[in-house]
Amino acid sequence: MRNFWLASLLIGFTLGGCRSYTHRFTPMDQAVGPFTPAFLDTAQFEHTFRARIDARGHGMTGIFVLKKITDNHYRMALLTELGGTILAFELANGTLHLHQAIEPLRQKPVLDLLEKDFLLFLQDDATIKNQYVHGTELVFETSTGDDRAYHYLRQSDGELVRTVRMVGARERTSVTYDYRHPTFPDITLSHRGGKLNIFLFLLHEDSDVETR
Amino acid sequence: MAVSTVAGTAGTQPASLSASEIQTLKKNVATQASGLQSLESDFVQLKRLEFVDNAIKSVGKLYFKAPHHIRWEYTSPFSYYVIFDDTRMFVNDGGNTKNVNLASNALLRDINGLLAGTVQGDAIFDDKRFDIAYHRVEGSYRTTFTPKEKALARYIKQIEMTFDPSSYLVTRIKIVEPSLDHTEITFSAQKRNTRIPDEKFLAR
Repeated sequence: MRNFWLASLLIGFTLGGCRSYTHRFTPMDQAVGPFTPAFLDTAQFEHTFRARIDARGHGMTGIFVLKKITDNHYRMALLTELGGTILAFELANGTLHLHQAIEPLRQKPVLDLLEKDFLLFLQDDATIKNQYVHGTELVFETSTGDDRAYHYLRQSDGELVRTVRMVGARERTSVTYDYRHPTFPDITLSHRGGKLNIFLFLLHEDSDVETR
Repeated sequence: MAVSTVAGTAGTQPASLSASEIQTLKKNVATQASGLQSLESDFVQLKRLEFVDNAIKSVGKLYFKAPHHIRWEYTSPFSYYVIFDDTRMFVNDGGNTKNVNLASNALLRDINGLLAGTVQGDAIFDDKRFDIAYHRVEGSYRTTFTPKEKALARYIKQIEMTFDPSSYLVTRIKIVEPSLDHTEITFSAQKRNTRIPDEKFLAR
């Protein structure tokens, strides 16, 4: 009896721990095409953001510039308010290429992290592996390497409201989208446990940039 | 490419200054700087990145009080100010504040020294630290500083400063990075030696 109780406890614990992230979702059968967030779905764009980065209790602010060159090819730069470049890189077909970085950011773990983080919301035509319904939201599952990402779209208007990156059974990173401006959302990217948070607030183009 | 950053506006040929003209310029800038107790100025900052079509524009006010108090106050596209003095940099970003001790950060201290130098103008004529070229462009004086020190050259390729030919105040600064991306700050409505409240330079 005692063995049975212990075994059931272990089985329950094990199964509970491995319970799928999607167990609360309702699978959908019909196939849909590749997934591109609506805010990326133009041939080219340039946007400027107020940026705030909080990492392990240290905070910094700056200006973030993002340009779409073609599908799955994005250039970006993080600048100080006084104009100096802190970081400049591009994402081309899922790979980060560094152009410029101040010393503390010129490290592979940092660059790997940036690559994964920014690919969560800067990816065109991602292959949908599975799709689900969860309450009022549609959920698309995509994958990059061993990681899975779940994109939550409001069924009423099709807007992407949240993306979650899973590593194994753990939620590692989440991105939320706030559509303050119609062209592009404000982005909040949060790592599990609050170790790293990135906030990008879109600046309004008309008043904040000058044509070259 | 580097030459074009020195040449400035297309169609304007910069004329090199003679040795005597350089000496006169330095003397006039030094005279102006020695009498400069304070300066208040509007500024427009344009950051141009090679990969984007539009420059990023910021607008604000600069306050300077001799010898080393500087406040860059940005009003657009968002409210932000940074205060430098001999020993610290203080940032107020919409109420979020940060103090940085410049004594522990050689590069920031260096940049602060350069900022103070660019406002006053004279302190930056340092042949030991920079290769300096002197030109006359459209009636103004333009000086181009190329850092000799590797630590600074990693971040700044050139600093271009334009002096007004009558007031000898700096009216424009252009900082070119090694990537050739650059920041251009143009000053206007410059007011010399007005009373600027000390509170402008308080860290709060």
